[in-house]
Amino acid sequence: MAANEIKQSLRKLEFPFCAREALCRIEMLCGRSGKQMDLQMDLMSEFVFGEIERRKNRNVPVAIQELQLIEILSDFFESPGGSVAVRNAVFLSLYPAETQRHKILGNLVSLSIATQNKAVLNAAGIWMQQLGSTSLQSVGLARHILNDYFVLIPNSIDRLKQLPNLVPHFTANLLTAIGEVYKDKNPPIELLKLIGNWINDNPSLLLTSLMDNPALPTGGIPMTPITPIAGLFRWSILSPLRASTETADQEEQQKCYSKIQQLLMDSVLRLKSSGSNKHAISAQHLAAMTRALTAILHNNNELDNSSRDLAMERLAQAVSAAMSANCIYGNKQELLALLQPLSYQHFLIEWTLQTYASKAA
Amino acid sequence: MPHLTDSLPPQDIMVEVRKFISGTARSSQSSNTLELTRTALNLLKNVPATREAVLEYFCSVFFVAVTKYMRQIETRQNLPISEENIIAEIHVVLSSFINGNPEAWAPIISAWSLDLLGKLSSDYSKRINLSGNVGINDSLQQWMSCRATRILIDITEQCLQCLMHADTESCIKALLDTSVLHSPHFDWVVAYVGSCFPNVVITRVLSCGLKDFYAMGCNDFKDKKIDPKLNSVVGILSHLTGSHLYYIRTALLDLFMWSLDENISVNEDTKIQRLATVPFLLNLASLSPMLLKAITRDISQILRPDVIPRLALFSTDWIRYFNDDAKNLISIAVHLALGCDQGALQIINILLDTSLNPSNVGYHSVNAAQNVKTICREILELILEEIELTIRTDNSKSNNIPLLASINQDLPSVIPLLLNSQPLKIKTAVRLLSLLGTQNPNVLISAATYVLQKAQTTFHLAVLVRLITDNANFFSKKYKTENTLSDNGYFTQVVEQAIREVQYSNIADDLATRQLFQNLTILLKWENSGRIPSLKSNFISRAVKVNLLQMTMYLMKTNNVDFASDIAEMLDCLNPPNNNNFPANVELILRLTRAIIRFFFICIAENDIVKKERGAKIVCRFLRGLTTYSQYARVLALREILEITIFGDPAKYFEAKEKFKFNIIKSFLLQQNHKQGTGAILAQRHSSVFHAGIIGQGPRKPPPDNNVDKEIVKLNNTLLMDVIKACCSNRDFSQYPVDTDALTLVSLLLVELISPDVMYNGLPWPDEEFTKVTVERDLQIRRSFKDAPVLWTLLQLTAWYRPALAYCSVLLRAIVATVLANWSNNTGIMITNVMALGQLLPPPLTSIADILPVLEPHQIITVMRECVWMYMHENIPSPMLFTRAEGATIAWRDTDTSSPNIRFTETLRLLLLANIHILGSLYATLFFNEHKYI
Repeated sequence: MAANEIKQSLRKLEFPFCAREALCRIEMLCGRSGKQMDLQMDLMSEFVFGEIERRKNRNVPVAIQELQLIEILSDFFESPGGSVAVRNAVFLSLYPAETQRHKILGNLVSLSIATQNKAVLNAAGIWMQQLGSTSLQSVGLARHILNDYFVLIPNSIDRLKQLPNLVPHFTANLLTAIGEVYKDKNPPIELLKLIGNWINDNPSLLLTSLMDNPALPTGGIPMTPITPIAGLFRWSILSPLRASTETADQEEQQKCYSKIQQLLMDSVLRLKSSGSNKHAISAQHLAAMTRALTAILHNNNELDNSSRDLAMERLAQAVSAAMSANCIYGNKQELLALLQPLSYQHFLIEWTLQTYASKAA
Repeated sequence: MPHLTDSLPPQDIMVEVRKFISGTARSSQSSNTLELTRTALNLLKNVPATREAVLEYFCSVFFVAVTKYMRQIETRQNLPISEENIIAEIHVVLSSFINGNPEAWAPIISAWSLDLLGKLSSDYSKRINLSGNVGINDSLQQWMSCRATRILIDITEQCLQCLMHADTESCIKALLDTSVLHSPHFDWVVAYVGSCFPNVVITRVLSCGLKDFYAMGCNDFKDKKIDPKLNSVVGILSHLTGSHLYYIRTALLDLFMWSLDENISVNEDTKIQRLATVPFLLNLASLSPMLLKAITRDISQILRPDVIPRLALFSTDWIRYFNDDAKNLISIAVHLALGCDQGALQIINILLDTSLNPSNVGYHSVNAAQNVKTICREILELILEEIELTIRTDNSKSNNIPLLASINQDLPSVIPLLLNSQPLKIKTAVRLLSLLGTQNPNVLISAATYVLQKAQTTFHLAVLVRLITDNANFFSKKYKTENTLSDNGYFTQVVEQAIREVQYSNIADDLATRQLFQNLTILLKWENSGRIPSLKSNFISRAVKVNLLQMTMYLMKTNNVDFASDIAEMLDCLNPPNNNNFPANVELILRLTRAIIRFFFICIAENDIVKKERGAKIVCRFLRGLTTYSQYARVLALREILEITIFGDPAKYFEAKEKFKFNIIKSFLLQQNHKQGTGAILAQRHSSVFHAGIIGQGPRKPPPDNNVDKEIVKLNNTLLMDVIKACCSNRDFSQYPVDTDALTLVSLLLVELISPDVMYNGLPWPDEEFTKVTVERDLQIRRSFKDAPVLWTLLQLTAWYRPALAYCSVLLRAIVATVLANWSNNTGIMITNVMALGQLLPPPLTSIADILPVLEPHQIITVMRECVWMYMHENIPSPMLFTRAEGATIAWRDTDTSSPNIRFTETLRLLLLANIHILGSLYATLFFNEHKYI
């Protein structure tokens, strides 16, 4: 069918139906060899998102229309039939990197978590991986979800508990993004507990993105997954140095961090035994964290020694464990050079340097 | 009711979502709103992703509720609106969200509710605004009566309450953004919220308005259009002034102070804003009287002298907000000042002080200082001009000038300006008061009263004249009373009020009272000089005359010679009374007479001779005028003078003996009873009083010596004579001013006072033997003369103006009788002298006085009996003996026809002969010629 005919036929339909129909057409187009990307894009903006001026229905309120669209999208992805790969491709092209549709995406994912819509969540996981889990878009999505479930309706955290079982790939990517969200501040304690439980119940969660291969249509190139390990290490290492906002829960908080540190070490060491993947942790990631740590130590002289020692000890543990598992990729020399100044302050770092300096070279 | 638990299973959520979508997507309202709302609330609680859609749906619910409400109002029905219950449920849920987790929900819900309120307000503005242009208060009231909007406002308030602490800025910003979007229909919400958070909202609204003003103010002003946003700001603030005047005032002042900050290290934007602040405030004030009120309250504390030079720096930049014309700026300032209904005097004072400030401290150049002063004067002038114009052209409006009303309130501080040393201040005050006076004459009266009382220089009295002249119409206006004859102007009231006020003010403060009379004196002198055209109507003397009675009272009360002479001097300045210019008021004249005589005796008691003589001179002049005008004044005056001189306290100044005073000590009756013996004791009878004293009080003390200096007594006597003569003066005889008939009155009075008997009081002298009958009375009369030597002087006076002495015959007779009885030398000399002076004894009997000192006592008796008594017995001392020439005031006795019989002279001649060794020359003089004839 020619592009114009498709459009003409779709234009005869009212809003919710035309979106649905358009999605089917896009799926069909996507599955074919000649993809007609332009046409896909046109259909999306005109019929799905109603971004063309004349399709905007003035009487129906915007937010409700959005909700309708979200319902149709989740319906569409959940509907039986059709290949997962094609649908993932459709999802990816529905939400390209540069777009205004992220709010709808956020609401879609949020609703899908509530309704446990596996299809959508999986697709979203792949979307995150393809855009990079630490990219702005992924972090934005993570923020949206955290805001919905932690801030606005705290009593629905339970819904998140099932997530690793339901959609481990999405959860892993989400976890990486969450690690980025709380890059420079302490996460709330509820989140810490949740993550602790996630990892505890599903020891392989941290490595899921490395194991699973995303279902992409032929010709799609999967991006290198980023594990949450480095991001979470950053939490546990920097946490002793940050002034806690809630002093009451400090002890509990510290327990959570210790637990997470332990779980992270477990995961890293598990990599050593499997030895399958050397791309678990990026050296830049660790280097950035080391820089942050150095800066904090340098600027805040009034921190007490036990906190300093704890932070440096955890850093040393992390680096030495990763080194021993040999799962660091990238510029290890730079990382070690950054550790050098800290080695005078903590023996474990010095030991780590002595032990692994030669290996890295 | 299918109330769902907190955690829905995933499948159910989808079902609920679908239900919601199907309910809302349909445009028709046929679906069950309540059911749908409950679903929506459920979703809101459970599914965060649906939040926006749900809230949007609530919007439509509110819209429906408001629409129904509006329709009911229009059709005047009162049915329950089903949506309102739903809205109440929504309210509960949203409130619980806000209270449960304010940080997260309050921004979302407040944004939503503000937006919704904005939309509602603009959409229904036409319908709620049925009666044309309603104010913010009306729309606030209308909207608050609708339950849906009331709930919305409540939600908003809750949100803002939570947010205010955490994030004030963004919160107010959202409010104002909405307000800008839906202006002016949204103003009521801002106003309401503002009254919940006055301090924050007011400041923000102001700064928002300022930003807007400076951004587009100058352009708009050119088009003579008032910026709608500025209007909104004004509306909101005006609404808030009702309950939060204090905050608004503080905010406005803070803004003003901020604009004065001279910190240069701020960015360009802030600088421009600072420059725009004052024009902005002026604009605000010109748009709302309430804000004007807030700004101008205590303005003198804001526009301190050190602030004004700083303002002068900016003024050139202000002009661009006023169509690039300084005149506009000045005109707006003038009109604002006119609109002040409070503290207007402060404004006037600021203008005055600034324009009169001699120093240039604080100004960046001398030129600038001069400029500021000139402009201040100009503004002042314009204000006054404007008021005058309004009053003169449209009298009905004149009551609506708030400035005047305010000045009226501050009257107690305006009036003292009249006595300021600065002419400009005086002029301003005069003009202001004149303007006020057109509305309320009492103002003029009290102002004039004040000046009249307090003026200490002629310069300030001139101000009074100016004040009166400026309101010439008014002051010459006549009372419309029943008594058409009394043509009293308002100045009369001024004088009256001044006198009354002085009376009620501190009595000890004599100076103030003196000032008043001194001022009146000066004014009268001016009037008498005739050189001041505006005083030609003689209103001052008229006013004084009307109030003479009060002034008389003063004179009657005071004992202070300075004060009394002030009053007397003023009285002296009045033109002497005549039939044309004096009211025929007997009471007044009598009182005046008494008062002036009292003043005379005050003068007599005074030690300072200059004051005494000046006072006596005034008394003479005044009495002369008064007594020639009115006969009864003369009678009263003479009687008063004589009575007091002879019997009153001042008698001691005329060498009278001090009166003995019983020094009765008050004691308790019980103590008195203790003193009593067994016999009956009657008070003041021989049982208790002896000549030696009073029982219980020791012997009678001799009366204290009269220690008045002889010279003074002489002077006093002279003055007394002058006064009596003045009383007896006659207008018709300019050469001999003393009227003999009046002096006859003196004689008669003397007789009446000293010998008030009915019997034997006639002119004829009886047989010598008859003196035995009258001996007691004769002694009394003699005693009177002894006690009050001034009587001799008086007798001499009457003797001088013949034939007045003839009426005193009984007195002369009594004294001669006593001389016969006790051959007193001195008295004999005196009495014969007087009789000789009065031409009652013809020559040579006139010389008896000269002979008496030489004679032996038995000879004295012989002379007195044979020559004086016998002569008088035969020649009755009658006024008929005297003849008066045409036009003369003094009568003469013809010496030729009345030469005494030889029977009376022979004794004298023989006695002379007996003493010829001493009286030889006298004998020659008296009897030499006689021998020739023999």
